[in-house]
Amino acid sequence: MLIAKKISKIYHNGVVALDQVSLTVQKGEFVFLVGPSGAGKTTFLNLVIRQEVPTSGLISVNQQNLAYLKKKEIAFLRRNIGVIFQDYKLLPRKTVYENVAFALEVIEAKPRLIKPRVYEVLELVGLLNKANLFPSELSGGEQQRVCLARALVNRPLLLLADEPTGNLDPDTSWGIMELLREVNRRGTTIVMATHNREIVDLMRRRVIALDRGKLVRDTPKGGYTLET
Amino acid sequence: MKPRTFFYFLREALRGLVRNRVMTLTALGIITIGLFLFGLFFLLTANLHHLTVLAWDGIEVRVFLEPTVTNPEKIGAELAALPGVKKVKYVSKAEGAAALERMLGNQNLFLNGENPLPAAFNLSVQEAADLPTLARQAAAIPGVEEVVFKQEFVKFLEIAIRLIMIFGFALLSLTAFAVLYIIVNTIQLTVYARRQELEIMKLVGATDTFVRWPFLLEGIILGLLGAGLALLFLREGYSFLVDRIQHYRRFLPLLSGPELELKLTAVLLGMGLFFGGFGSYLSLKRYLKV
Ligand SMILES: Nc1ncnc2c1ncn2[C@@H]1O[C@H](COP(=O)(O)OP(=O)(O)OP(=O)(O)O)[C@@H](O)[C@H]1O
Ligand SMILES: [Mg+2]
Repeated sequence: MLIAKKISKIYHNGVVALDQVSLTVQKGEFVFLVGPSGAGKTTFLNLVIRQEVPTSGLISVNQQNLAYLKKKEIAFLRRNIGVIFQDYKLLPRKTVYENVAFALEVIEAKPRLIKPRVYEVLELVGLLNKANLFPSELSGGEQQRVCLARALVNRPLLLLADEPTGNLDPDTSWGIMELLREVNRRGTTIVMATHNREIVDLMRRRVIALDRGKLVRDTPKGGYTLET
Repeated sequence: MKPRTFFYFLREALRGLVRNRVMTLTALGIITIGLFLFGLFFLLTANLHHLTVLAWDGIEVRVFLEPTVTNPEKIGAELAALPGVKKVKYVSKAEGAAALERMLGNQNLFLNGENPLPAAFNLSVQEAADLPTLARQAAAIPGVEEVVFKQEFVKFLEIAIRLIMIFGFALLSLTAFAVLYIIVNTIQLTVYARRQELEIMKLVGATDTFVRWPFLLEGIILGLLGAGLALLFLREGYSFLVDRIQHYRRFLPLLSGPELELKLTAVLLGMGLFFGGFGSYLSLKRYLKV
């Protein structure tokens, strides 16, 4: 599903965000990407959706080498990847409903399919009653769920979640994790970047740890830190 | 493009314009002013050109015939066939004398003698005709004695016309560039205000075309609206001016009429459309790199 071979990313300001990282994620896996702040987690996810290009190394998604994509192919690549952004990236001038519908309109889905599908995912994330509010009228956790709804609305093959529980209380966090587990159970591959030790330790999934841009650990059914 | 998609773009464009009211009004104001200025210069150049055409229309080439000529019609036909000739008018000996008498205010100029004036043709010429060549060709026709025209004045007019053409062209293209520059910058502001929206569209998988169209439509709508407003102001202002100087019409014959109006409308709407669309296109380029 996702293959990275010795990818490095050096930003133009000289920061080495990723250093020779290699990993493979199989279809249907649920992977935690952990590491301290600044380890390069977001950078890695940005490379996967081709928002950034690696300075060196190869990365491929769904057997497509991202180095050789045309602009149009980049758009199509992104349609198969749902992303929960660390900073949500919701449109302030659009309502909750519009923010989610937007992701379907943009890929030219049939209008009569849009409405039911948007309500379906809003129900899934528990925001049906807030559909007509603007993001500024929502709490942080609610905004995060809008972002999750938008990421799911297009039934992506791969879901990238960047700190999806970052601003949530423990109960809501577990609610989100339940959702992600369900989505994963239905076949969507999930890569989730997180600092949340409790969740990682309890879920017992594959853990990939980054530190200062280097891959330092890759354990199946691991915990947040290496257990001795 | 499917009609559905087009209507989606149109809806998004209109929404964008309405939701960003302040930006929209600012941009509209600036585009209107720009196109108004362009229209002003356009009218100025058109009028200057019109003046020279009027002056050119006043130019006459006189072709005097030899006294022995018996077939002036044939010479007239030959003259009419020369390149650059607009109209040929025959002036017989008697008519020539009458005209001269009228001009000198003397009724009895030729009372006591023979009329010495030759028969002649007066040629009016087309705009930008090559007069020296025309004169040479006319003189070569058998039966033509002499060809006369105001060489100095023609030279002066030719230079004036050329200057006005160059000046007008330079002025208009400069204004056009300035207007385009202003429009691009203005639209760039509106795009900048919405760069986040552009980025997110791209991140959820929109193609460039899809991102671009609503903005292009917005630019086009703004351009057309601006052109419409500029036209309105220009028309009101110009017809006010024409009314005001009605009295001096003989000295300052301003161009007017449906033809000019049509031209101005077409030019301004065309510019609004093109600059609005092209302006948006240029403004977007930078933001589509995500
Ligand atoms: N656009 C950018 N330009 C320059 N440097 C950047 C850019 N984005 C990130 N960096 C740098 O790259 C490094 C890795 O950043 P990244 O956002 O990938 O970390 P992270 O693991 O997601 O951290 P966090 O857990 O705080 O979200 C940081 O040192 C950061 O300063
Ligand atoms: Mg991050």
